[in-house]
Amino acid sequence: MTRRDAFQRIALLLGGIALAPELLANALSAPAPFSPPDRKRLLEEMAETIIPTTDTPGAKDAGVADFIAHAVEFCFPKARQERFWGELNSTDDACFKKTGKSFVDCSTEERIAFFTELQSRKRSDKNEQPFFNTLKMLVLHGYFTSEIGASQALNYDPVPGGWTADMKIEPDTKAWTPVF
Amino acid sequence: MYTNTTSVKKRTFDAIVIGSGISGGWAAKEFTEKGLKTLVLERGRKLEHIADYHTAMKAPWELENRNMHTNDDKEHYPTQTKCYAFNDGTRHLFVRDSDHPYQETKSFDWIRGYHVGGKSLMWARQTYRWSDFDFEANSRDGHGTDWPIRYADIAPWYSYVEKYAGINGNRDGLPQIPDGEFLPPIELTVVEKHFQSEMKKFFPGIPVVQGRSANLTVRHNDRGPCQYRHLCHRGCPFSAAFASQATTLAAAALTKKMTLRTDSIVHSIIYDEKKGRATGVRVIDANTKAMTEYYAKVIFVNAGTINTTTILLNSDSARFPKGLGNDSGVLGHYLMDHCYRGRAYASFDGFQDHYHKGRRPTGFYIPRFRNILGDKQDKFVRGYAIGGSAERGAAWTSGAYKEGFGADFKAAMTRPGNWDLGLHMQGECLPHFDNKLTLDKAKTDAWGMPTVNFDCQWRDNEEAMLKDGLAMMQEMLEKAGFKNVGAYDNHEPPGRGIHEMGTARMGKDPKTSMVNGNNQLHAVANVFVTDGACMASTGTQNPSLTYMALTARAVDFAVKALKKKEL
Repeated sequence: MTRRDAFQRIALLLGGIALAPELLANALSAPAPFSPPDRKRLLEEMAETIIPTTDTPGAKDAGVADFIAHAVEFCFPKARQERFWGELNSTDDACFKKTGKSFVDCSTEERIAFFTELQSRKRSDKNEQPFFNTLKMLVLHGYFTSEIGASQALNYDPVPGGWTADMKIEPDTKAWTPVF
Repeated sequence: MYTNTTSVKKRTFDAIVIGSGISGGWAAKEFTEKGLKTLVLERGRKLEHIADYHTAMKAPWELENRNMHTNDDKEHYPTQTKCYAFNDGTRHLFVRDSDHPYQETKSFDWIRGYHVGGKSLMWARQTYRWSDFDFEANSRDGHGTDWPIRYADIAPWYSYVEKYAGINGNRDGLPQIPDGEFLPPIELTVVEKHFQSEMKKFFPGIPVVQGRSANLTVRHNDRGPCQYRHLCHRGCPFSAAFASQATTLAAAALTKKMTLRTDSIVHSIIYDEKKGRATGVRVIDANTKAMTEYYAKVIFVNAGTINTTTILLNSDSARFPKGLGNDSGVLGHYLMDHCYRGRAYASFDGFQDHYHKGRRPTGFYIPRFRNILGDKQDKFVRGYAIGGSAERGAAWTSGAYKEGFGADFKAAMTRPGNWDLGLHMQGECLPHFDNKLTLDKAKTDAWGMPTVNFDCQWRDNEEAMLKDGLAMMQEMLEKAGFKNVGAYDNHEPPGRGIHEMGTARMGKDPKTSMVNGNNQLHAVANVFVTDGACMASTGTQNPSLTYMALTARAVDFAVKALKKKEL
C-alpha cells in the first residue's frame, strides 16, 4: 500500500473529514513579538548558521525564527524570556565588538568564526544554560518539527502500517521523524 | 407536558452505571447485552469515537506549540502536565486543574480526564493478569485484609475480557503473570533481544518478556489493526487501541438499551432506609447546575477510584452518617498507587547498523521476581515489576549540547540517535490505614461538591523496595554490557503512577472492608464498586485488565441475582 492509499483510507475512516489543512493550528503565523524588528533577521541568520541550507532547505526556509519567537513568548517563564532577548542582543553586541558588524551583516566565514568562539566559551553561571545552547535547542526543535525539517531532512512516516523490529541501515540513513 | 409519574418513569432504568471509563464501559456493555435498560452517567463532555479525535492525524508541525509545554499549561494544568501523555495533541483530554481543585495535606498527583471514555483514552494499555501471588499476598504476610477471591475465580473472566478487548503478547508460561488469550506479539528490538539473552545468562530467574498491551496486532472484532503510529493517547482512528468508545460503549449503543448522559456529575446515591437499598442517584447538570434524580434497581459506581469514593462519602444518610455502606469506617482509607520512582537508563554501543521501522505501542517487561519462586528478601515484603524499552531516537533530540553547528552538524543531526534503554520500576504499595482521602465540605468546587483532600505518602516498605530495585537495575544493565548506566529516584509522590487503588476495598469481613467478593457493598446489596476503589492490594501489574474482568464478573452476578429477585 502506498502512503497516498494509506491517507485515503484514513480519510475514509474519518468519515470523509478533510485532513490537515483546515486543522492547521495557525499560532505560528501570528505576528511574532520582534522588537526591534531586526531581531527576526538576527535570529534567522543565527538559526541558518546552525542549520544551513544544504541538500535540504535550512532553518530560514523552515521558519525557525518565528517558531523561536512563539516558543519564547508562550513557553518560557517571564524571567527566561527577558534573559533570552537580552542575551540575543548582547551576543550581537559581542559580534559587533569582534567584527565591527552586526551578525546579520557578517559574511558566512565571519559568522562561523564568531560562533566557533561563542561555543568555546566557558559557562559563566553553572545554573543557567549558556545562550548558545538555548539557541541550539530552540533551532533544532523548531527545524526538525517544521514541515521542511520533519519531512525533508528526516524520514517522515506518519502511518507506518507495521512494525519492523530490525532493519539494516547505511551510515547516511536518515532518522525517522519523532512523532509524539 | 409530563405528569410527575411519566417524568419519574422516564428517569427510571434497570441499571445505572456511574462513569464511562475502562470499568464503566464494561458495565455498560455487559448490562445492555444482557437486556437491561441502562443509564450511563459521565461527568465530562461528549467525545465521539474518531469524529472527536481532532488531533489524531496532526503532523508535528501542525501542533500549536510543537509539543512544548506552555506557560498557560503550567498555570492551569500544573498537575496534568506531569503525566507522560500530556502534550499539544492530548491537552483537551486532561482536566484543567484550575477548574477542578483538590487539597493536599500531602502531595498527590491526581491525573484526570473528564469526557466520555475517561482515562481509557490516554492510558498506557499495558495489560497483565494477576496471579495467586497477588490474591494471596495479604493473607500471606498480614498486610491488608485477605482478598475474598482467588485466581481461579477471575481466570475465566480474564479470558472473557481479553477475547473481546484484544491483547497482544507471548505465552510466556510464567506463574506470576499467567498467560491469556493473546493476539500475535510485537517483536523486541535487537538491543532488547540482546538484553533479554544477557539477562538469561546473568539472572536466570528474572525473565524479560514482551510487554503485553491492549493494541490490536491483527484485525480483531472489526477493529484495527494497529498502524504503529504510537499516537494512541490522542484517540486511535483505526480503533486499534482499547478505549471505551471504540469498544464497550459502542457495543452497548448497538443494543439500543443504553442511555449515555454526559455532563452529569453524580452528587450522591439515594438510599431508602425503609427498603434498605439504594433507589437511584442525584445528578448535577454540569452546565445548568440543576439537580435531577434517576432511579434503577442496581447501581454500579465506576467513577474512577477517587471519584467513586467521593460519591460514596458524599452519600450520607441517617443510616450511613459516614458515607454509603461505610459501617466499617474504612471508606477513603487504604489509598494506594504503584510506586514508579525508580528509573534507570543506559546506552548501547553496538548494533550501529541496525534500526527499526514503525512506532510500537509497547516495550519489554520484567515481571515480579522478588519474594516469590524461591526468592526471599528480609528488608521488604512483596515486589516490583520493571518495564522498559531500547530504541534509537533521532540524533537532534539530544543535539543542544553536542559540539558544532553548520552543514556537518546538520547532517549528523538527521541521523538515528544512539541505542538508548530506559527502565522503570513498578513497585507494589502496601495498604496503610493512614494513606487516605477525605472530603472537605468547607471547600467546594464550582458545582458545590466537596473537594477531595489527599493525605497519602510512600512508606518504609516502598522505600526499601525502591533501594533494592535501583541497585538491581544498575547491576542488570552493567552486566548486560550497557554503557553510561545510571539509576535514580525521581521522588514523585503517589498518584503519578495513575494506578490509584483502594479506598473502598474488597474483603470478606464487613467490619474491615466495603465490598464483598462480588464487588457488592456489604451493607447495600444493590450498589457495586468495580473500579480501582475496590482493590485490597496493588499487585505489581498494571490494574486495568483486572478492573475489566471484575466488572464483567460482577455484572454477571448482579443480573443473575436480579433475575432471582435477590437484589
